[in-house]
Amino acid sequence: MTRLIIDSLNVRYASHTVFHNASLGVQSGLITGLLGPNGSGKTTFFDVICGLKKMDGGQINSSFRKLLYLSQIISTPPVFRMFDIFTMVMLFCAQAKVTQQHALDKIERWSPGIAHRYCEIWNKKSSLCSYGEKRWFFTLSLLSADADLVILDEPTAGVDPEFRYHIWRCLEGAAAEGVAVLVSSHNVDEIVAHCDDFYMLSQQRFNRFTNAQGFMDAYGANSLDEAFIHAASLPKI
Amino acid sequence: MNLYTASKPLTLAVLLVKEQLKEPVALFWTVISPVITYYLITYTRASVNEVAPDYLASTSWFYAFVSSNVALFGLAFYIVGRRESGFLRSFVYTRRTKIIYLVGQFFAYSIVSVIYCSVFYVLTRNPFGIASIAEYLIIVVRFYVCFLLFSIPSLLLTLVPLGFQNASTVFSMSSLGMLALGIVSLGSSSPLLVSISFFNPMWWANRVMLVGLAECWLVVVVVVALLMFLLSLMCRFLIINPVWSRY
Repeated sequence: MTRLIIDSLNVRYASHTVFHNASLGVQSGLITGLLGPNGSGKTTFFDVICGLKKMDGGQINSSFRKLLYLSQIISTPPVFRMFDIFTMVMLFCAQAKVTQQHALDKIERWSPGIAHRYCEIWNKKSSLCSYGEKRWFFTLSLLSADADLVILDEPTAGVDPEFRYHIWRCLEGAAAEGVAVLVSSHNVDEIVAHCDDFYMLSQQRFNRFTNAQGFMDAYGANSLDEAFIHAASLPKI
Repeated sequence: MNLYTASKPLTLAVLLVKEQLKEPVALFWTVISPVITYYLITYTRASVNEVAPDYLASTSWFYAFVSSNVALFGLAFYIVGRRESGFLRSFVYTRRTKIIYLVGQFFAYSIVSVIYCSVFYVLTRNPFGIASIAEYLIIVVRFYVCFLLFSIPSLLLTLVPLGFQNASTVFSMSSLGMLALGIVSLGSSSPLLVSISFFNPMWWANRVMLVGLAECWLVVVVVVALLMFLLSLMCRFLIINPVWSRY
């Protein structure tokens, strides 16, 4: 079983402690969710995994072969059409050549009936694509790039319900084929509904849950959002 | 390393050149404006019956200026632009991808520099008689060395954490400063100006354009060595996160 194990992670910005002995695990074939309030360190955590930010303590052990990370910021050269941007992005993200057909085969397998929507965006000028269309396009394109660990920082933010539905279908399809997915979101419902397990970032640590009831019980709440609010408002250790 | 991996920087370069050519304003500003300035100056000189010198003597400063603009506002400023737009953070965050990006960017603006030089040659050579392929090739090679020379300070500027607006200002100041200093030092016997000129890339570029590579072989060696060192340094220290972001 291929795994990513984060053990006793410590990260600080000057005197501000972001993580204190935080531990988390991701394994192949599963979707792992990450919940946390704004500014709690989700993006910092992803940056640490990807080597963009140094940790101050702890260990990261990964047996994955190829990691891909889609950050929150997605900016594309406006003069290009999306197929040129696809080519450009794959130069950075894929080890072997990934064609449109390769991507379409996978996407259609994971979420039947969306290939034509992907093709519509494929031919669109980048400057004419909405933020949601870009996020949807990039998330699906990256999933088709043969990585075995995919990290997505709020992939459904700003995406309409239809595209959000297809993103989750594709994530589930990729996971079923053995890809490990680590995904963050502020939408508690979608994390609970689609992830095999999820972590709540609270008190500078990751608390693991596998179902909605366990999450609500842990924070003495009657709804998922209430549990999130309780967890987020706990004092720092 | 397979063929696809090896060809990545070249494929990227083709895309970046395509992008550059889709932005005609940049082409106009970088090439056409020096051409217009050149003709205005030539016209003014002609009106005071000044004898027109030979082609290279007449245009060397312009070639040097255009090559500095390609390095500053093409090669380097696009790196800043991609960083500040978040593109680098999104897709270019490993050592491997930094190498692909930097080599691709460098290839792209090497091609763009040759295109700009060719356009400038075609648009300015006519008043000096019939153009020749041999002369054109000599000028292109000299121009490319000037581009390499200006790439060094330009790439160094990308390592300074400047936002897009500030970078634009600093790049414009650098370009104008080098040009002004170069022209002021022309014919000056002031020891101070001579000393400052030694550190002015524009002065060296003008010299390369005027006297050629054989006379300036040491400059060529130093430029190539420094540039290779700098590119390898940038593969490690290229700033990925936008300066405006909190990361």
